Amino acid sequence: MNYNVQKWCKLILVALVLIALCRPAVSYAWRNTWLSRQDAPSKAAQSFAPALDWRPTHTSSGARYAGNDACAQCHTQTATQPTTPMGIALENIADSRILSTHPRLTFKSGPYTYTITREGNRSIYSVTDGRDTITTPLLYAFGQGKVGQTYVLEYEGKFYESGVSFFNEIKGLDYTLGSPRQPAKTLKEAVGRLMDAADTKECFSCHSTASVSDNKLQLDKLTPGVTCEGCHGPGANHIAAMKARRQPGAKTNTGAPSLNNTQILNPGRFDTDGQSQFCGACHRTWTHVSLMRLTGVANVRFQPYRIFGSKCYDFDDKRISCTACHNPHEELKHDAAFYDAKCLACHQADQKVKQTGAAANKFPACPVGKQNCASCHMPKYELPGSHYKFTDHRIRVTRPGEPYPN
Amino acid sequence: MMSKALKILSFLLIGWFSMTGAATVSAQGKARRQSEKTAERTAQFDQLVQRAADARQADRLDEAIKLYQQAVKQRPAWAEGWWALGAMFYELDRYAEGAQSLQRLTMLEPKLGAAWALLGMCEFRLGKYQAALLHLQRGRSLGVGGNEELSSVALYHEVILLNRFEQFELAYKTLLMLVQPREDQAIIEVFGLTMLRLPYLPVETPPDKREMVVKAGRAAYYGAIQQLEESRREYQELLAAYPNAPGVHYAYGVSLLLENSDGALAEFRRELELSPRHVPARLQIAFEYIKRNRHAEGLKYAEEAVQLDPDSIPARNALGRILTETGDYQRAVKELEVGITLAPESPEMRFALARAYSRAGRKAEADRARAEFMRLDNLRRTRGESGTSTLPANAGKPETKRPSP
Repeated sequence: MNYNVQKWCKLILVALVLIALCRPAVSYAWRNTWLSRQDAPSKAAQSFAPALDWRPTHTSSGARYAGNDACAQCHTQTATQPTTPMGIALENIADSRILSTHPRLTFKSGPYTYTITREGNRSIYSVTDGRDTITTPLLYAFGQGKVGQTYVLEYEGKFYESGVSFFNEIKGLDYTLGSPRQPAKTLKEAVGRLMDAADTKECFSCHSTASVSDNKLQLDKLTPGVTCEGCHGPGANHIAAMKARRQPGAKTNTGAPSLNNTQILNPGRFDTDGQSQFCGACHRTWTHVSLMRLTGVANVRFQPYRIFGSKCYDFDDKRISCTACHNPHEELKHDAAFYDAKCLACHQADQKVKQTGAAANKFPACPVGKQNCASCHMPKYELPGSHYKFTDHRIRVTRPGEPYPN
Repeated sequence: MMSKALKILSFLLIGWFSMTGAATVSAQGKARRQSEKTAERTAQFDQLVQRAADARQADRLDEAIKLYQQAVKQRPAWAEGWWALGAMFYELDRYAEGAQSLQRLTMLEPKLGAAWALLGMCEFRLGKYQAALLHLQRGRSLGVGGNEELSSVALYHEVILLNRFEQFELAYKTLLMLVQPREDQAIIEVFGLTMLRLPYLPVETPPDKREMVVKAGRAAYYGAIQQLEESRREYQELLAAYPNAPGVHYAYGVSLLLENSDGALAEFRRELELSPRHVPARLQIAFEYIKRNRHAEGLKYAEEAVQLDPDSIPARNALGRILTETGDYQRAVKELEVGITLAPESPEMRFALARAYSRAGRKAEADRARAEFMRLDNLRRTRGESGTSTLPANAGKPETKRPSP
């Protein structure tokens, strides 16, 4: 008996010593496994294909919209979203704050004089060469005014993009971005750019909600700006589905609600590539920019395209996805310090990253600073004619005098 | 003994000094004579060149050619001489000799775009179409140095050769550079051949098709100069006159893509009824569905396009992209890998493949494909090329202002 007790004591002692010796290694292994699980995208994020065939720019006929007020019944985000840049990406002329606070705007371009005059709830756009004048009411105001605002008008039964736009920096009119910065050849040309059907659909589908259905423009059903349903899809079925779940005795699926049974899309669940494609439907992906034949600083506005070229971009690491840094339900943050934590989610110099080896090589810590990362690694560029500096989303180590990386 | 030795040594030294002195004097004389000879030769050469230029100026081309030939014989590295010979031979319809002279010139000055362009023109006249197209394209990429006449003639021939080699998309893109507001019958005819996808040079157009070609050309030309009403009217007349001719509905469909994409889809389907093996019509439909995010509806058309033309780069691209979006990642990867073998330099294909690898969970391969994509894309941008080389007109493009075939 004594012998047995002694034997067990010895065994326990050896085991304890072994555990004590091995603990750091076990702890390290466990922690690394855990960290890698944390870093790896979740299965839900990996499942890209949404149950609803929905993109912000393409709605199928029969889509049933519920409106922001209906969303507000349950979702608190609706309190802040309507005043975000996306929320006011398009305004009716009657609601345009810029046009009501600037009742008379003028611009001279060679022989032409442009005037936008406020008359009650309307704004009248006129272009004259001193002899003849074209006058027409503005229909829609595109852009929330942080950079500027461009107008859509109808002339001779066709839609035109105004030849001049309002720019916040100069608090006045200048040539519309993308149009030739010189006087037009004719008065009709001076009015602006004739929009073809495809153009018109693209502009409205990105700046408003429910304006394009089944590839057809339906301005009578348009809701100005990108509303909840602009990204999440038409919500009437979602409301019905959620109400049905709350019925007493209703059978619900176990586990987290899936995209299917909630009848709504959550783009935040897409992986990085999925989000790039989704947000890029309006903010432009590489495919768009490549086919638009845009080179140089003109493409700095297209963030999904720019970030794709960053060394740290990863198709399925959500730490570099659009929503990792931006919450579309809230006002855009302009303070570089706000984004530091997003950068440091990968580029941290602490022990756990150093220990992971490969990860440390992929995401080295900044040897220069730990604050305002974006101010160096995401420089701002002024797009000629925009009167605004855009943040370049191609994250990189910049060098003095380096040319803009295409 | 010692003094004798000293004497011998001093004699030797004197002898050596006098010999080297004489040699120096003789070398100096030789150099002078040489320089005089060179100056004389230069003067003679300059005279020869002047006579050659005068003869050319006076339109005595045969005499000028002989004089220039003498000049390049004297100075085989004289580029201007070879250029003058090439140009004169071309003018005299002596294309084989012209091509020879210009080949010499392109060896001497490989970056002289005008030489490549004129060489391409000579080869075109000699019926060496493949070489001609290659050299005309090289000439354009290098630039012809402000020679507008050569530039537009070379561009025109490049377009008609692209048509002949069935590169209609590229032909259309190039043709747009030649469009002027003033109507030009030759350009209109080429537009017609491009839009109807007829692989003929204008002189080879079958007489029974000429009227249809001109009608289609006029419709496309008006579209290119943004006279859309006239374009539509011409297309309606074309359809009324040739409702069952292959290619007509396809051409009309392409013209509708921006204004009425549903109408375009209907025209492409009608084309498929008339031309069941029409691959571009299938691709237009597939890419339109990609653009609309209705990938499943485009799948059948992309699959058929690959079946009918397994070497079609846009077909592989469309099918790969559709399969990626519909969740069949393994097949998507397969299609796009074949696409890469067909178009190893295509950033579009790498981009699509990188996404497909990522969806398939093949992370390392996705990263490699993305890195390669970035390299190719940068290369293309550095060269100032646009992104439509491997895809047809409607390859998911949202902003292109003009339709193309």
